[in-house]
Amino acid sequence: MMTRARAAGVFSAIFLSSSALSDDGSGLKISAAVDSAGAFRLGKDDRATDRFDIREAELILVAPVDQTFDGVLSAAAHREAGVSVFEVHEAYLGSSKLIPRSQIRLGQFFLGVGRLNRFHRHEWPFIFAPKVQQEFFGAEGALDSGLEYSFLTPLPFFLEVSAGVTNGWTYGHAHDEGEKPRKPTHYGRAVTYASLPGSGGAQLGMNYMSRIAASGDRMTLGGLDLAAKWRHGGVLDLLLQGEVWQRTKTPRNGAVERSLGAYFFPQSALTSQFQFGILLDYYTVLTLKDLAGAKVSNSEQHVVPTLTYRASEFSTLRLAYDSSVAKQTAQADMKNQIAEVQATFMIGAHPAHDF
Amino acid sequence: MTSKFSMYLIAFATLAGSAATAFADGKVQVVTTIPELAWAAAEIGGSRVEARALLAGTENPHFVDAVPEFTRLVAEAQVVCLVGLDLEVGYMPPVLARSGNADVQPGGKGYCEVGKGVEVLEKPTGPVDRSMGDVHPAGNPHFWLSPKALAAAGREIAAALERVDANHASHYRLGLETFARRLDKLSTEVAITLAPVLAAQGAAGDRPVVVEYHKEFAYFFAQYGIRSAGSIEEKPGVPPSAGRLVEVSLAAKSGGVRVALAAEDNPVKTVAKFREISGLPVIVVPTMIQASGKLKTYPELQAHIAAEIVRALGGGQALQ
Repeated sequence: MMTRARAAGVFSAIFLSSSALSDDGSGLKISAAVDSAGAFRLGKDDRATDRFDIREAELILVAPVDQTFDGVLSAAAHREAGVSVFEVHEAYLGSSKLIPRSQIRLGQFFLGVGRLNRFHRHEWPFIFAPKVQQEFFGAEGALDSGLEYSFLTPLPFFLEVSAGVTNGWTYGHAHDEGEKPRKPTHYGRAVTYASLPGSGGAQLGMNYMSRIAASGDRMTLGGLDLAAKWRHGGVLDLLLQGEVWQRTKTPRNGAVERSLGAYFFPQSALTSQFQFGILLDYYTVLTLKDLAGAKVSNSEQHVVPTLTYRASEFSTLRLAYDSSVAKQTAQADMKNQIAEVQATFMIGAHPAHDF
Repeated sequence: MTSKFSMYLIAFATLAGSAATAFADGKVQVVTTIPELAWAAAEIGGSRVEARALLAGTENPHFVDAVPEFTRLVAEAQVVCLVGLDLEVGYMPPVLARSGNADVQPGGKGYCEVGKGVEVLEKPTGPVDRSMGDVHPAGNPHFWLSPKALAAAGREIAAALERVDANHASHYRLGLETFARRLDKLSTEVAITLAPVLAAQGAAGDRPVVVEYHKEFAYFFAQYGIRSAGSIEEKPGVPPSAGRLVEVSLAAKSGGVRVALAAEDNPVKTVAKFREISGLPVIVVPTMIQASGKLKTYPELQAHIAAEIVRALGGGQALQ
């Protein structure tokens, strides 16, 4: 269940008082991130919103609560249906001091699975969510309230295991109360890391998530995520990022639906400030059948060359071209070409350089 | 059943954590961000300490990711030493938090931020904001190239070692004294090597002969009395514009500068452009000890930087 208020005034009040709060010995760190993006049709038959808007204006507050806990609050103003609405993204109590080698989050947060879902959208290396992310987690990512526990195993290599359980009344990025599920959203993740030749490193995660809705419909997700980086000096020379997910939806009554989606994003530095990457995005419903019960081949594919300019780590300008095609047996291919733009900036406390 | 499971989980985590953070071979496990601090900890702690650095020495220390492997190493440390002065602000807070090691987090007995023991240079006196580039509000954090500053940092390391291994406090105090004497002797030797630089800049030091790309040699210069003509960067951390490059190149040449100093992680093309416009030799040197390089100890690094400057000043071929 999501806290939500059409209260731009609240946003302003918190923001305006930030400087007064930051030096009072509380350790409060305040930052704000603004993410604007737009998609424009390149042909008259293409489909896009044809407008450039603020997707999120997010305020992030982090501080130690006491000797044991930290508090995190991130709240974002979104433009939805022509109106800017303000909603809590994350609000949780966290601790890495309670149990050795462990982290705990209690409250509302983006579920700790996959790659994109663990990052705020303005931190992604491309503009719009791949199809698999939109279908399985929502355009922004799946968030919910509950408990997440992570344990760093005492092995001679990095292996962290996490488990979480959340309300599950809603799933994804919902704006309604939802309904009490038969089985709440529960998930697990194991992630490992290896150094690679040439100052590189790669992180590989294995993920599982499941939920049985009030209706009795079960959803199960399984997936892998990968991020590999090579840095030289202060420049990210090469980034390889990808995820592959399969979802199984088992209705209480009806046929099982299985879907598969994946994306891969290689990006290379052109200069210290320009990067060029290509998002390759694929999605298919594996169990799609026609009225006669015959299997229907189908897919949606995107190729999105993306040029990024970063004047510093605090601002990003992006330009992309999205060429997509939706295919289905016995139907004409549906092609679409879109130009995408994005501008983001962060002010306030220094952001973390997450791997 | 759930509560029983939770109890087992907590017990397992506690035992595993305790086992992993126990003193391996009786040695205090020290993790530092930059290699210089690991070298210092090993010198001070001697046989009682096992020290390792998170960085390999080839990175730009401003732009480092919170690599998962860092988290694993920090989870098993009794002492974690940082440069401080906001140098590691991008990656150490998440690394420390994710380690689940309360002892080495800020306020813990094994947390050691050595910058607070150093006499900091270039501390801004007025308001600072990001339009000025990568300005550190607490001052220039690149102090480790000064033996005097590193000796001061050593005091913080020794204090942390005493806190976690109080039974051997006298061992660490003695180690600190020996460490300080070694750095003092080293600086005397390096100063002799650098004598031609001081001679070239005049008795009053009013004819600077060196310029640096980024102000990361400030402490080295201050230690040995070398006057810098400034930096090629106009704003720290921001690549200079073409106009700035031309301006600073011509000013350096006409001002009598004879050598430019750059770090290995500085942008190669920009440094090459400066060399092309100014016609001055540019020496590119490591600014940290490198685990896989030739310069594995601090004295070797100091001697190398000094020798390269003098060689370039004397008309010898500069490193590329």
